[in-house]
Amino acid sequence: MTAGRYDRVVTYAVLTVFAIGAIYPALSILSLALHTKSDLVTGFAFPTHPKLDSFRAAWDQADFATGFKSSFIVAAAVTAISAVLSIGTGYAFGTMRFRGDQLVFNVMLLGIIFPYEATVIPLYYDFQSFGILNTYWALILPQVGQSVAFGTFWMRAFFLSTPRGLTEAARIDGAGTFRVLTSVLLPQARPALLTMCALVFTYTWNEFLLALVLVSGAPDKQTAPLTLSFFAGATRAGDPTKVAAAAVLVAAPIVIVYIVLQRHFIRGMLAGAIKE
Amino acid sequence: MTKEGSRTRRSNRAPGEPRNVAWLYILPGLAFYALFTLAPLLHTLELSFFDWDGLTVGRYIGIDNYREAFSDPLVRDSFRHSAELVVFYAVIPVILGLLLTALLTRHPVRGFTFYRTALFLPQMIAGVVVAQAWVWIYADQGPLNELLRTIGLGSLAQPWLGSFTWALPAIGVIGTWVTYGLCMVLFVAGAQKIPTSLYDAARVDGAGAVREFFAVTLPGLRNEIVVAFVLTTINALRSFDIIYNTNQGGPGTQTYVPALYMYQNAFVYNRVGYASAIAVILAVAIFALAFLVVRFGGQEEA
Amino acid sequence: MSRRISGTRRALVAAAIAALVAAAGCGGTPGASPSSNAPSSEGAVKTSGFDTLGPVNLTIWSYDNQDPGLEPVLKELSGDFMKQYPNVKITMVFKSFNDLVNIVPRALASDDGPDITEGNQGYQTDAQLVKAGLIVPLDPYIKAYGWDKWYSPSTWSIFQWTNDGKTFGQGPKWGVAQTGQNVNIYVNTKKLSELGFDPNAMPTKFDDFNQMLADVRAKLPKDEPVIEAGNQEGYGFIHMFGGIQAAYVAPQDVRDWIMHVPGSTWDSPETVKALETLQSWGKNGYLNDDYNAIKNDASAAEFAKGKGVFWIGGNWDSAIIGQGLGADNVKVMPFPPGESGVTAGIGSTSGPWHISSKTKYPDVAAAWLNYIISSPKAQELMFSQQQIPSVAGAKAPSTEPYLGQVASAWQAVEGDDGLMLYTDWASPTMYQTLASNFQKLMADKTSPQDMATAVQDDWTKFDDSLK
Repeated sequence: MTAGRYDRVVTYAVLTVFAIGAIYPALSILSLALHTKSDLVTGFAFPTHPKLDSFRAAWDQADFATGFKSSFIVAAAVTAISAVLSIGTGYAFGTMRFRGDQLVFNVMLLGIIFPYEATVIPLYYDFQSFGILNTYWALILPQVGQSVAFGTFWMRAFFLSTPRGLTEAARIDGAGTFRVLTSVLLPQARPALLTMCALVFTYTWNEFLLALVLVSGAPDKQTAPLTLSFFAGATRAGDPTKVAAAAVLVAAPIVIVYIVLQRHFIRGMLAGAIKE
Repeated sequence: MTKEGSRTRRSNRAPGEPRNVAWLYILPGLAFYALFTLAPLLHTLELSFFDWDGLTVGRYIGIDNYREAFSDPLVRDSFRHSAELVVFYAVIPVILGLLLTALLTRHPVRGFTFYRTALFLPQMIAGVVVAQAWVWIYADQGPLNELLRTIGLGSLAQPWLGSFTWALPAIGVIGTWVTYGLCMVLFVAGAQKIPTSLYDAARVDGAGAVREFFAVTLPGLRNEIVVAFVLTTINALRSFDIIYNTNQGGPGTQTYVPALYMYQNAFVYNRVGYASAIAVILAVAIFALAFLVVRFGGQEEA
Repeated sequence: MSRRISGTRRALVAAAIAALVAAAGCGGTPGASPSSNAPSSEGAVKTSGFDTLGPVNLTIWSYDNQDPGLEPVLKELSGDFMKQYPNVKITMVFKSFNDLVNIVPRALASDDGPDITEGNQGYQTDAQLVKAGLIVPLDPYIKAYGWDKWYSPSTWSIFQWTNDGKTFGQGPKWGVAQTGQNVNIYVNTKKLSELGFDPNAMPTKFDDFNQMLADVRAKLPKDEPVIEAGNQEGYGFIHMFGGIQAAYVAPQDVRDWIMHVPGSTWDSPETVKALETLQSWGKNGYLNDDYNAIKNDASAAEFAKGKGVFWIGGNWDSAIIGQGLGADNVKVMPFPPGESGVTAGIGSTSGPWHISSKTKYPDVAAAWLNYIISSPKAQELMFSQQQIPSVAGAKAPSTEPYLGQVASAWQAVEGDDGLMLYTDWASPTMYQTLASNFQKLMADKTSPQDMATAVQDDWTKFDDSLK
């Protein structure tokens, strides 16, 4: 019995250590952000007198209002468009058989491991010649393309899991594929859609290289991560508290949504990974 | 909304019959994917055969960019660094994940949801933010050095990200931090799918913890391990955000990685063709690695 | 039935592949339609009367983001300009040097880039901008405003490029600059005297200064640096090295090399000796341990808080240091000359201001440039932030001894024709080559000779491409 208890304690201890390790860096910059430069923080300093000054300063100086606006517009647009498109592709791959379905699906699966970094160069120059460089579209279009790969896979999995009996019954009643989709299947898709949207929104919000290449020329279109990068680079004479505050600001929306919806996030990433 | 006015007679077919209407549903998504993901990759390939500064007219030079890339020590170093990062991003996290899973299969823990939420957090944080957090951790007056000083190892305190020896491992540790939670949660979830009958059988045979792990858990997690390796390895090869926002490939060239070198050539040195060649090499490496891992990992579920 | 389906399917697949290939190859030969090189002002330029133009929006980019320093100067001067022309709205965007220089060519090439921006002299940035026709030559404005009085011909040469962006130092003039900048030695006189040295008797020869560093090291507590350094961006050591190199190499040789005068080389025994000296500063423990992790401006701030006895860097950080240590406790001096007796060091003007060739208001832009560089208010503001105006004849207020020191340091170097410009101008990759080699040199991972060879190789590779 004692051996079993000892093992159990060890297990809890190991888990706890790893869990704390995972959240420590976040706590560390949060704590740093709650100080101001004159506090001369070293190491991990618990904020005995938390101040929001650094947040205010970072928000104003780096113009995060614009950064957040841009990030939100881009992430929302990408999420909405990819959701619609992925419902379509997932539905087709999940409920219909047609020549080439396996091939096309596998091609789209490639998108999950795709090296997007290798596409930024032509994206830059092509967008420039079409005049959409430094606009929201420059960020939205490629990220929709990227997200549709995961979205297709995810929604297909959902549609595959829906009971055939339901769709059969609807078809026999004379419903076309579109009606079956909207009236019968979609109402059940809410959890799956929520997960997909959460993940796509997160990845889009966090995207950096695309923003760096495609919109750094337009300060009013910069996304929050890009704003953070420029701010951290330009902040004078090392004011780590302001940079920490800025970093917290950028991560906060996603982290908050994550904590609330964590079940969905994790389910999505796990199932996605396993089924691959 | 009857797109298939002509097909109403076919509605009596069992669902799952081949339908060309499927293409209508697929085309919009496929078009976005093809136009903004596949086509640009082909375009990168095309650009790699030119000498172009991105501003004036380009000049066709065949495979000269590739010749230069293969003899460029910085290209070699970049890929070597990526390979080293793979150890940190992939190998160590997988091992840690398996370790934790081994513990948890024997001693299930209550309230794992809470732990899971914490472990998964690093995956949700933007690379730029991760970089800022760790720049602080590694800073001269940051937590790591302060900790060393407090426990009397102050002589080890140093500017980690600025050290020739430690900069790359320091970045590696960041990568480990980002991915170990994912591996842990993935493996634990996968282990829950392993039928307990297998474990019972093993125990009846008198297997101890270690045997049990190697005989039941590990094979049962085969697919998860393959997936974890694919995702994390590719992550290592693609790394850009963290390095760009910590030490931009320095000190010297100690933390150069292919994506960074590609970016610099394209957008700092104005050598777009050369950058494209590097991009193509990187893409090929990633696809090849993914393919190899999956193949080597054994059969996949359909 | 199946044949018909397969026929349709084949056609679809063929169409898809064709579309993909077309989309992929839609570049043809890349860059086949470059933006035209024509300057947007033809004929006479306007130097006034902008209030009749209706609403004017100017976006201006700068990396002079030091505060105290040039940032408040630029902000205030822009405010004045807007008051003078209420229909003009100026948006100033400040970025760090690396960030701005890295994205400025593409920003200017886009349709909503800045109207006015700083560039960087040399082959990495300005040559590209000129070659691609992204900026306009300023000669019509020089004529209209009389700017030719501003600088000496050799200073003007750093803004000159032939239209193909290949020959540095000749051709039209593409930029103008606000301040004279050079790298000085800043001395914490309080600390120095506490150690038993006389700040008023600073060495007048480089070898003596080198010896002084050793003497200070001997007297300082072991955990304190002699020189507080910050090299995170990579240019810290480039700047520090300039003065050392000047002790061994004639400034004209370095300038010639930067401008690719045939036959010039960086791989000379004298330069190798200079590199050995710099390396010895590291080996002898003169520098702070974390120099690779601290940004250059940040190291000035550290020095201003009392770290280190010396700080070697650009005079754009003078205000930070003066404010931090107290103007009476700082001595500013150029590098003491070597055998040649010529006072020289890294220096030039501040960043070159360019007018975008896509701007709708080049004349207004030129008027802004004229204002921020030569107006009395501008000069007064620059001095108040311890910056030295670049135009000839600017006189520092006599009531400011600290400023007087900074000004004299600049004038000493300029007067001896000792401005060595910046070595990273010599090729598009030179900045990176120098930065990584200096880091290796100071970490003892490369030898002075190997570094000199590597730098010269970079130069030669680029030089060949210029032919």
